[in-house]
Amino acid sequence: MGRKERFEEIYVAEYPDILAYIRRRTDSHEDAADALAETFTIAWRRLDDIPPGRRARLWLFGVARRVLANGRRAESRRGELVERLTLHLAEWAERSPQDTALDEVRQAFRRLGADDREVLALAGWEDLGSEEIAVVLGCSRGAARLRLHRARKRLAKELHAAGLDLAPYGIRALALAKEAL
Amino acid sequence: MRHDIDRLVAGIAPDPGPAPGPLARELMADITSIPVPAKPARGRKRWLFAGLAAALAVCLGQVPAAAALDIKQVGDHYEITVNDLLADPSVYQAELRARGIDITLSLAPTSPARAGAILVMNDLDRVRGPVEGGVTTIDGPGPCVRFGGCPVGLRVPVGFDRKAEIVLGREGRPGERYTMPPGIGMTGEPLHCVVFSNKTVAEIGPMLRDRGLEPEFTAYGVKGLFTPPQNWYVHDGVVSQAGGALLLVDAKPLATPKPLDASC
Repeated sequence: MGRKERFEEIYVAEYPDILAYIRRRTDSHEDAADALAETFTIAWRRLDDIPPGRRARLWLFGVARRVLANGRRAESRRGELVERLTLHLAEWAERSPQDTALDEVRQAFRRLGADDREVLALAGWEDLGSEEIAVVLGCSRGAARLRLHRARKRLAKELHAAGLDLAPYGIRALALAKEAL
Repeated sequence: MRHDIDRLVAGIAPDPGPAPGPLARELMADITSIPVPAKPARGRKRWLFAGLAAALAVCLGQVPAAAALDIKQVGDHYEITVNDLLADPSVYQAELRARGIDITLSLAPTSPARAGAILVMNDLDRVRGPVEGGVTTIDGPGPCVRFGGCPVGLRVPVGFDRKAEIVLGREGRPGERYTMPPGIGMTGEPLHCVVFSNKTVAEIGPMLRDRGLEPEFTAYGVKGLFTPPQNWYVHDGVVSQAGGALLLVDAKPLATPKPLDASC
């Protein structure tokens, strides 16, 4: 498979997940469009470093995460394309209704620190296990597990403090809230 | 299995954004038009090590069948795997105590696919952190699609002097409610790779009954079970017992339906 074909295969397969990852972590559509273009540009340059199979997605999450953390701007030569992508994302957001279910959970989540939010989001939004989270965060699996556990505990505590009834969410949420007290 | 808190967090996942369209293709064409200087491939070494680690895991996973637990000393750790899932917990206890390990091992009824799954439940920070000297799990060889890893055993430091409580999944008996209920869409569960979120109560009933499951319903803020209107939407679900599913429903659909498991 040629270089271009391999990139296209990865791009087509991972675009939705990488866009979702970036959109969920940015407030501005422009930043999202920018980070999306930058992430895939890095992927194109470092194609030989991208691991095969499902790990490609984790590798890309890691890159997207660093791009967002650095607040890096994409190259100016893509300025016009990024602008159109920004508009496209903004239009999409206008058409998608804001979900108001689970607002207490959303508020409790926002009260957490950025590190806790990220590890919980990787588990809950990107559906990653602690082993995969470790790859994205570049830490040991044990550290990822611990961070995840602590973040869950802090969210359970926030929810409990907000007076939310945890019973419908299952025994483990209850156990965690108790443990956090 | 997926953690309750993770399911809650999944429920507030912001919208993933538009599906790739012409603009996405334009961006791809734009990126691939950037010239890339040729350079030697990097990262091969890392994969070699990953292969080695996988090979090691395979070695560790092989245990001769003997007692209810297989406990062997490897360096300064005991490696404990469960041979007999149906043994009385007191038998596990006795075998652990014989080695001076103060671990309470209990069994929690769960689905056949989850039987054998290990959860270190209590005092997690103290026993399973990256801190030296904690209890860690040993993952099985091969790719793992189960949330929280696929532990097949435990690694306990020799001389471990703290208490730990380990919960092990065992197959539930007929009529017994699972205390480790697996997500209904997880690998090995009835709705794996089937879109079920945002199905209405009217639609989900036949889907489950076709698969031999009788649905029960609950909702946020509802204590216990209730009978929802037929036009309410499924947000999530677990297998609650052999032949039974517990579904979380709401009057409104999820803005972002749950994506299918990545392995689908």
